[in-house]
Amino acid sequence: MKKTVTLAAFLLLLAGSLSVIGCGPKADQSEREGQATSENGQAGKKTQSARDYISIVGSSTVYPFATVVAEQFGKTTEFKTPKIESTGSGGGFKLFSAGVGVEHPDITNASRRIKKSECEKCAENGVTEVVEIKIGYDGIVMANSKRAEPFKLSRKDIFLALAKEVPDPNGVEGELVPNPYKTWKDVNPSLPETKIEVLGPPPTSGTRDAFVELAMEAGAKEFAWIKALKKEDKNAFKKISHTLREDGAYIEAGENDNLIVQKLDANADALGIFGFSFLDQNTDKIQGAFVDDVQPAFGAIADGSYPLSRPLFFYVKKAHVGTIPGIAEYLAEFTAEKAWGDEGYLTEKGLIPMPKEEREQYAKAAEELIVISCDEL
Amino acid sequence: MAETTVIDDGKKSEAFVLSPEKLRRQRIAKFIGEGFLLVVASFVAVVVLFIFYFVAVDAIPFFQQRGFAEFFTSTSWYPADEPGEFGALAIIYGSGMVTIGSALIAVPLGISAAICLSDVLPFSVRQYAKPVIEMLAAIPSVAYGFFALVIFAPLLQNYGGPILMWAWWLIAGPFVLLAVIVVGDVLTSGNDDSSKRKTMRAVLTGVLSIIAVVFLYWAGSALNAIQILSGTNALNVSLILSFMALPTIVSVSEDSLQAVGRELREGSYALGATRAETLVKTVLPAASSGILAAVILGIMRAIGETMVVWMASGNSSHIPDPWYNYLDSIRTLTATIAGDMGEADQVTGSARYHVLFAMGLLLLVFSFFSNLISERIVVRQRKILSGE
Amino acid sequence: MSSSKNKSIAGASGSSRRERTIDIVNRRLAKRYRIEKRFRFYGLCSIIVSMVFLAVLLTSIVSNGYSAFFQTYVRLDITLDSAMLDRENPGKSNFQAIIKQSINKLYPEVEDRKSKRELYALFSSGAAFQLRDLVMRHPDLIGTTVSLWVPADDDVDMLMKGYIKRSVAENERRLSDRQLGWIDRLADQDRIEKRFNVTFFTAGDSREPELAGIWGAVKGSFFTLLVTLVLSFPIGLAAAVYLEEFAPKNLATDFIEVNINNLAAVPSIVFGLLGLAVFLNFFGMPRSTPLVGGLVLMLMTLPTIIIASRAALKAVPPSIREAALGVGSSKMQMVSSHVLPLALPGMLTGTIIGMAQALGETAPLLMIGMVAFIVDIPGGFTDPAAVMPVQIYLWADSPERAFLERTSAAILVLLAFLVLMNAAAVIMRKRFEKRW
Repeated sequence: MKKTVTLAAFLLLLAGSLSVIGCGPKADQSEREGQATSENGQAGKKTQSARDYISIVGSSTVYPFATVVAEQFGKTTEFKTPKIESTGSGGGFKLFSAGVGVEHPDITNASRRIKKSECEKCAENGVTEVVEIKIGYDGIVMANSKRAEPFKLSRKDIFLALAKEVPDPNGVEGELVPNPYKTWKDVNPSLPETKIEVLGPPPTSGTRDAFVELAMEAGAKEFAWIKALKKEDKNAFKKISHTLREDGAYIEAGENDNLIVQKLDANADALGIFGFSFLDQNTDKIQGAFVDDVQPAFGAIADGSYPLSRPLFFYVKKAHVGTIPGIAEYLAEFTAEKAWGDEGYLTEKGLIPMPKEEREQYAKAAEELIVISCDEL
Repeated sequence: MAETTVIDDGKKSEAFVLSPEKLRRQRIAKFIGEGFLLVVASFVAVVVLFIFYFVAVDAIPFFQQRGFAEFFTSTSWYPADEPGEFGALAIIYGSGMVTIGSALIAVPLGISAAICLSDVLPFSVRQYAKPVIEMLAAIPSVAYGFFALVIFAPLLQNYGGPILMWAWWLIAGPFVLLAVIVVGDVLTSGNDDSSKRKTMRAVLTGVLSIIAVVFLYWAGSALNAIQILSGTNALNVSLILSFMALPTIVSVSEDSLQAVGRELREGSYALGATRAETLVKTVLPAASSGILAAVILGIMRAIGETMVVWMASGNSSHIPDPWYNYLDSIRTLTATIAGDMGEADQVTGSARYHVLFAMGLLLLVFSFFSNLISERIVVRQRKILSGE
Repeated sequence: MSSSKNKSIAGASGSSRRERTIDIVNRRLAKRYRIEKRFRFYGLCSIIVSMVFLAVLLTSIVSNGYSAFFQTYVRLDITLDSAMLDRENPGKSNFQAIIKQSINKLYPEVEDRKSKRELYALFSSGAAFQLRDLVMRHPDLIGTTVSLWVPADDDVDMLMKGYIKRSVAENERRLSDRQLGWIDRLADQDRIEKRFNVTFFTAGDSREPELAGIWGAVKGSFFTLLVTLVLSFPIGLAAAVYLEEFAPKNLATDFIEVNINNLAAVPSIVFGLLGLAVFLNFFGMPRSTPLVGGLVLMLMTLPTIIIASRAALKAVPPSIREAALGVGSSKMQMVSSHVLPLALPGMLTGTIIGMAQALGETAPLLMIGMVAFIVDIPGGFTDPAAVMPVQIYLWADSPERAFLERTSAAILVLLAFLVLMNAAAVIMRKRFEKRW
């Protein structure tokens, strides 16, 4: 008798375990006894029930802003707080474009515009209606300790100081040599004679991609032959402008910006590269360098005069609006003046707001769910 | 078997009766029961094979697309470029670097702690010391990572030189002193005349000590002057990893030291050896395989660790210059898998996705291999100790 | 040893020119004891080094974290003006404006917009939500004036705890001199004090450090561990029983044993890869849920449970088994009614230790999407959740100074759980372990 009972117990537990693994989850499960008896152990593909929270993925630059909005949204409405993952812009697009359905994310954040290839991929997988919302601008700054003099750099200086290979300073056109410059003065006589020491993001970071595109590419294009190369051989151009030197002048200081600030505090000669929001949070310790004679400040980034600024976006699947509760209201929260306006709470976190007309344009796009077409890109 | 025994006392006792019916049922139950258990146990074993298979299946397309050469020999790691470059040599080097670094610290520390615990310390102290060391094992890796990133890294950045100097004095000091004494003894022991030997030894020891102190001081000052650029580097990670591997090395070594048994020890004492001599000449050689196994397990722990390296190694994919520069940031296989998976193409096959599985496969193969060796060693030791 | 030892041992007594063995031995004895002492010194040193490291680690975390258990609160007198509140729908009113009004009353001299913004920055944005909750629970308070303790902004909190120093120059501080003056005025009016930080234990994650708590992560850990336990305990038990009691000594059994050991050798990140590609991509389970987390962790704790269970089963003496067989039970009966109950405490001990290991795991959970900003407290196994180690990891990356102390405090809470679990296992082992 006892053995039968023990045996039965074993079998029951195993059945329960297997059915949990094989079956998809049901939204109302909370008792494990319930799991063991009520499932019909179907293995294989999932059976998803409707998701009642918004699923957002994407850029780690937009993440700090999206999380603030999500929290406000969760607290002021009866909807659940959206779940936001920081996967990077590229990873976010991959997840986003995989298809329509509750198992795919509803919104993806991006620190760059969607590429044409990504848009087409969406269409291929059934994601045909995508709404594009720009939320504001982010600046990339090169900052140093407040104890030293602020730097005044041109983008050409930046390129020459940090690229792995630079045009031969002894003038042979079309020739590249390994970067010979050791001090800033070598690059540009008007700069101080301090060792070139720049701490920046690793290749996994979106900030690095943005920096390379905005600063290095522009600096490289100051050389006419490199500029011409862009049209002929895009890959070669990219290699020249995107590859940063590895001899110790450029130090990949990891993803933790706090450590970079500490390092800058200790070493007044070093510069650090990060997003404007971080500079904004740490104005007690660091100051931004002038780029092309423009100081990185709120106004300058907003009106576009600071050259190293980029727009931030998020993209919404129109098909999910209505199925997943709360998307429309989340959009409304994000595009409200009290969030992204000049005095909004996102601005306090370091987001540079768009000019009023642009805000109105995108608020309208959010409200009416205006879909973009891949040909615009 | 099926016997009908009737005990004629008026009561019918069925306790000892096994009818064919019951017997068959019992056999079936036994079959189901044992079969079920076999299935479950095999499931566990099969899972391992499944993991291996599944990682390999996703890793092979990478090698089909890109071949072996680039992965193992190139240091250009630019997966995001188009076309991407997947030279993982620097990353493999980084993994190796921190593993060896942590082994260099943890192995001597761990073995001497194990010896201390099993043979030197009185039992009452052992009661307290062992739980303390096991506590090191219970601390989650994210806590170590936090410590490495938030507390230790700034410390290294701000006080790097002095810290290195102090560590040098603390660790190298006693060893150098010991070396001086040993050398003094060895060089003078040839001489038979007692008093002459004593004076010679004193003189020699004195001279050597002065040289030793000067050397220590010079090296210490050199270290003091070092400016650590970035606190998140290979040294930071190696140090923290060594404390994570330490408990493993200590417990397994201690177990194998205990397994040596009283007979060998008692025999050695009976011959007049001191405790130190017993340890060095008898117990350690006997337990050597077990200790080796412990070291291998500790190394496995270090190479498979993700959180600490992800947070505190700097994540910079290059081979430090010079190659032994532990003060430089590096990147390991585990951190690359954890960090890059977010950006990699998750839906369909692309080299960027598969290369991460290739790294996983590398880690898996290395772990299995080390595990196999370590198990072999332990089994052999057990056979030797019990067989003889 | 030197050549002197080769001197004759046979020449024991008598000849005074030859040394006796005992003399040789005695001469070296002193030196050998010295070596012995040094040896002991080294051994002790390494243990001390480990202890010192542990002490340093714990001390730094405790010293950074204990202040997180207290939070600075400010008392505001808030007039719940019925003109500003909608009696019908109290939840929709603009509580932020009401809070701002009550702040303005305390500082009537602050006029211009910029200064006002600086002033409002001293108070947490959570104050408005706190007020909202209060009004919704007690709508009869509309029209009265209430005195409410609201959390101060994290910068103020850092000042009160001494992390922001007044002695530093103004432009190197996060709080301006003017703000410091305002805070001092609050102190003069007894309106500012540090209280026990209940929010830390009851709230979920938040972007504002003063509103952030670990309850969401604790619940997530709980659900995840529950899934892990339910799955790994029976499987581990069954596997251990089979290997110890029923397995014949053949190649198949060796194969199974080797592979179970190999399972323990797999690096944790590879389990993450497995979880990602099999559970998420192939089976399509929801990301970031305790269900998938538990499944992945189950695989990691199985070896621990199996090894501990086998040890427990081995410890049961053969006499018990023989006795059971002797009275006529079948093998299955013997195992289930005699051996298992005796081995159960040991198995449970092993399981608890396995659960403690699983509680501290982070790497595999990173890959299945548990690294996400999740504010709501999870209600079930399929709600998105964070677990404690992942929450710690997320907070460790945040720039705000206040998150540093909260991360340390969260580590302390996690360590407390781990110590409790390990202690429970040890106590259980001591109580139920029988020495046969």
